[in-house]
Amino acid sequence: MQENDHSIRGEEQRRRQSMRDLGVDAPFDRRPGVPMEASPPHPMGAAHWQVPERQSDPGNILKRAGLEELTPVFGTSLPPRRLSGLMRRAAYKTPEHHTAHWLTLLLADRVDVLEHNLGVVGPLALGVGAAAGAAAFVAKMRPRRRRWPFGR
Amino acid sequence: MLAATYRGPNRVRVVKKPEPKIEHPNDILLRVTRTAICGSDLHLLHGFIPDTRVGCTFGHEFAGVVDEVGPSVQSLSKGDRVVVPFNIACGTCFFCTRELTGNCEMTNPTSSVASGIYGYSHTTGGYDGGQAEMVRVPFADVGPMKIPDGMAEEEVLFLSDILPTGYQAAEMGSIKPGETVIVFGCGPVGLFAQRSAWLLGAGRVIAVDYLQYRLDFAKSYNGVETLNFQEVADPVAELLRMTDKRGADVCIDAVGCEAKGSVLQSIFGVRAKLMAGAATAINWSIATARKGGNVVIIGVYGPPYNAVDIGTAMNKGLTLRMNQANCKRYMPHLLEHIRAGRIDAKGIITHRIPLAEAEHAYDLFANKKDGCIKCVLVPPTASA
Repeated sequence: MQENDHSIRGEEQRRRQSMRDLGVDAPFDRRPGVPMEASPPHPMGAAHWQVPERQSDPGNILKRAGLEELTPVFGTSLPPRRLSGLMRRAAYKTPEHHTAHWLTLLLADRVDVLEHNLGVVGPLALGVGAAAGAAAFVAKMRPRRRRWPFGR
Repeated sequence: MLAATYRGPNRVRVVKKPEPKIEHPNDILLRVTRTAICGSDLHLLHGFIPDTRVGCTFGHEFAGVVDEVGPSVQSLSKGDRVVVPFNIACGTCFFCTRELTGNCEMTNPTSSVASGIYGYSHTTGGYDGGQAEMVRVPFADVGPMKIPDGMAEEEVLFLSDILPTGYQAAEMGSIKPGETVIVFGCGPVGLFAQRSAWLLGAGRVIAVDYLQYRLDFAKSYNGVETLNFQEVADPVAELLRMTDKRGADVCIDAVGCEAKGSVLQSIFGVRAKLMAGAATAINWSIATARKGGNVVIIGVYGPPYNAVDIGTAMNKGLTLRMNQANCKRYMPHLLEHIRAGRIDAKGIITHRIPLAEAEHAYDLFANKKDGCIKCVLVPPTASA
């Protein structure tokens, strides 16, 4: 085994010798994830479909902007509700490569906590403020044509 | 049934919830016998992952007994004992057929960044997790692996996430015989990354953390060199000194978005949440990797952005590799290592706690109390 120049000496060598089967996966063909993309493509596990069947859509599952229909399976826990739900619906209309998408979701999370802890009035007030803040943020982030400051 | 649910930042509560139902022909319902708290659950708990809804059940590391099977399930029957990878994968999409089950595009309608994951917010599909008495497992013919007769759940439980994650990290480092590897973090994933680095032929493994009890554990469990970064003035300079001023061949970030060690990163990323956590471990990895070396990121970072020193990475010619673990492809190989005694996976368990006391378990794990390395939760219906 070839060592590099700041590799094992003395104590490290003793440590290595005390470990079982060191380097057993050193040959790259022993490594299950090499290369990272397996080739040729093949089904995983005991999948016995080419295209999976679809889970029925309960009608209250949010999906990301740009996705035409729900994925074949999805979680059905905790559909969006109340003000936090409205904020989440708004967030999922914004593509996920926009920062506003994630910030709105994080805000909705905080409103969700308040909804569960403070009843309805507190989060409503906070949510209106947060939604206004998010709207102002989105408006500010939107690219706009700037006027050249020197008259051209 | 009992389930450990999110109540808001820093609060988990065990509540009674309705049992899950079969919702797709290839679903199974699993009666959980062992489940664990993962370090990445703490990022959820601390409010870093968007769209974490109050009431969602946590838990993506679990094993159990099949209780009910959907009509199209062919490979499992009621009573089978299985361990379930945290990635929910269809098995036949573009990514799954390349064995990238962590990137499955058929299981997460809310985000394209990851596959569906159990109990990990609606950003990863909105699935309830396994820190409960029962859990719904979609695509049961793809993910779950039967537990061999004679093996206990705890021996294979960590094939669900942290063992494949640690192994894949070392593997992504393309470690060659004799190379030096620095692993940032001595939590469960860091420990398995260190062990895997030895198996892949590393010549030297250096573990970095600030918790001395975890460094001591790493030294005894893995036989690694250790550095407590709070005991040196400049951790990066010290690591460079330890590696002949040139740096390590491979650096692995096994910490994620709540890293300590940088006041500015902690204030902006962790306290004020003006970015998706602190990128300290990534930046230290970049700074301590040798030119042309490999930096591997398996620590979890939420969207949308972090302050990463990408310019240094570019100028040093580093290769950055990262991904969610594609657990399924590693399970048979790592099972072989467990059976051969090369990896004592259950040896990292320091606490076994009833599911009903999950709040206490989260407190121990999150606040690093009582020498906690790994907490396993035991549902009331499972044998102790």
